Amino acid sequence: MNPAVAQWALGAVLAIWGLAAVWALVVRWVRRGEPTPDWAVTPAILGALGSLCLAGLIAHAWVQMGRPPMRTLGETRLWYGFFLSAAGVLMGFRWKSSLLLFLSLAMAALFLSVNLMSPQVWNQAIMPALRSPWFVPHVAVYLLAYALLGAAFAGAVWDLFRRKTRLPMDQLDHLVRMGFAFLTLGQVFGALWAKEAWGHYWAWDPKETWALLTWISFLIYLHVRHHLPDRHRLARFCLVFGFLVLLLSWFGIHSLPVAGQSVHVYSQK
Amino acid sequence: MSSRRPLWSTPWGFAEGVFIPLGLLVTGLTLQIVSGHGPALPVFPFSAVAFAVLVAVWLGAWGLLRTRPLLDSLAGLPASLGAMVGFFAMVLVLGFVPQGAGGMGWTATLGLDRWLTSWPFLLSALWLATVLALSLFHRMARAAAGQAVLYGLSHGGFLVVVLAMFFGAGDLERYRVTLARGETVWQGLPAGDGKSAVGVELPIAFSLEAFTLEEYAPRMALVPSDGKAVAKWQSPGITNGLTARLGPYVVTVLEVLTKAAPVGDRWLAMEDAGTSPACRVRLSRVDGGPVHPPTGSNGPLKESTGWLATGSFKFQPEVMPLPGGFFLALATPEPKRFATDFSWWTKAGGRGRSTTELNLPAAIEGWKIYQVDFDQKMGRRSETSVLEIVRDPWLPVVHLGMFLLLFGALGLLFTAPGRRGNP
Repeated sequence: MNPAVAQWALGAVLAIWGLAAVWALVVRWVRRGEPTPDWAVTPAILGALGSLCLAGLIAHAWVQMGRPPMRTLGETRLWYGFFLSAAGVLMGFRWKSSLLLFLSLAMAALFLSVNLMSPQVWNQAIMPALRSPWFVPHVAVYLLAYALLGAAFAGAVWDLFRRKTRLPMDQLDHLVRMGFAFLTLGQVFGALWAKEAWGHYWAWDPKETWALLTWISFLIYLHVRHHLPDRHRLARFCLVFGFLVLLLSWFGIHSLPVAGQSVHVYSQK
Repeated sequence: MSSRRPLWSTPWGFAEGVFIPLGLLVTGLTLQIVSGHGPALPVFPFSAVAFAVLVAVWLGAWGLLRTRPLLDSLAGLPASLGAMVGFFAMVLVLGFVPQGAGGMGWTATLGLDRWLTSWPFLLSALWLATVLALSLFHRMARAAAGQAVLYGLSHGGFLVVVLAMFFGAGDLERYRVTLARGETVWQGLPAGDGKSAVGVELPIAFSLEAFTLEEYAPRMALVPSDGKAVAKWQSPGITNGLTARLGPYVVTVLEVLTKAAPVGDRWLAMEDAGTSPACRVRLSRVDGGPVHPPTGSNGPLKESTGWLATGSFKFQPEVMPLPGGFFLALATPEPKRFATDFSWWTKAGGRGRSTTELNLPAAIEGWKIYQVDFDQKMGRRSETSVLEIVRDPWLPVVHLGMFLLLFGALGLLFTAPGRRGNP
């Protein structure tokens, strides 16, 4: 796998998304003062084009290395960027929300720019622990969950700072419900895989512990939304808190004191 | 005149929801400090008895309080939220404090380093399970047939998983067995934290037939003087003719030997214990500059060839020193797959031959046999293999709980959010 291919592909994806964002902003400015929502199809199509390019890069890496590109933090960011942008496009179309599309693409671009700045080392080796039919479903489902929750997080942060343009709480709820469903799926897949690999479905490995903390955080959000539907600010704070726990669970384990006790610490790059 | 509702009068607010977990934390910490350890985990048949008693107590409480407002409070949001946040705080300790008994100081006194079996953690889990159980019974009793299915699946599933994990922990049997070539082994060490180091007779005897280790082709690495390998200065796995850019250097692989031994100043292919992968490479700089400074009457070299080898338990690694304190090395090959072929006998008279590898455990008469480790220094020539045998009688209950939980969670994908008062 030629690292330059990945860099060029990422650059192209970010350029296409940048164009989509600019287009959306221009449309918004041109249609300012109009009563109708500022939904425009072209930015969404550009967003989808970028997602497809990213999917192509992932597929190319998979074929070139002969293994699923899900082993390193950088590789998981590619999937996150794909799922998040695809969710932004699909949900943007569904709810006619340029804002959701913009926030999703912006967040995906932010994560992928980390890949651009610290290029991947494309190592085809895959350790014996990952040679399992559970590998792809477990990681893919988790990254899809992260993407959906990431979109909701971006919306909540935006809403906390802006009053005039906000994402409706129903949309945030929908994203979190979907994300939570896939988070649960990922947790169960992980437990079933762990039983096949290590002999116990839950070993309180730091990664598992932090995944459980993430799950409980969003469980709290769902209960707050169900029982206190008018407490929007509280709900948004719960969402932001939950995603910060998620980020610690995804990226932060290796910098915690418990890192040495984890079998889940990603290999570098 | 105060218009405040007295504490503990129904309906509960968040004060009551917070007080109970806080009270349990204080109680738990006190018990932990005074006794020095957590409660003992019940084993079968006491685990089954304790499980039945607990469920009976919950059902009894629900039955007695069914028509009282107190049940609405116990099963309501303040209690649930308080229990969830309290349990979150308990799990947070596990997320920050390295676990393992034998520590000193205040973390050990409070039980933070063996938190899973501590009083605060278990009391918090018990309260969460109690609130969950009462909510489940209360909601399912009031729902008409066909309604609240997803609620029942998700909440019931989670309750089953939590109960099975807690009550099943004492019944889980895990032993680590070290097989050595030419020996029949029927003793193992209990595996898991805090277990004794005394050998135990196992229900199965093992004999190692063969150990297999498959490895990836090793990678070349440009290593700086501090010895810490940098990921971006590593090549793909070596193959004949491979050209790789490592930092300012271009390295071409001229010859690859998978099993080699040093003879004089070169490496030769050999079938011997202790052989190591080796390769002959040609090195030059990307900018065309000298690879080595001039020595004696020789001018600076723009190209150099040499051997690299990973080394083994028998031979030292072979590296190429470079200017600036760097050196070019061949990294230890990464494992691709390792498996153990073994013969087995059981007390019941069964016998056979099986293979176990990571992610593909063997199954023998209710036990699962997992490949855990081997003599990594010897690598392919390892004469020992470490297995772990596990028996988990509560596993079907855990599976049931997981699948219920799963279907309940998947229901979130297909249903709209209800709000309080709406089913």
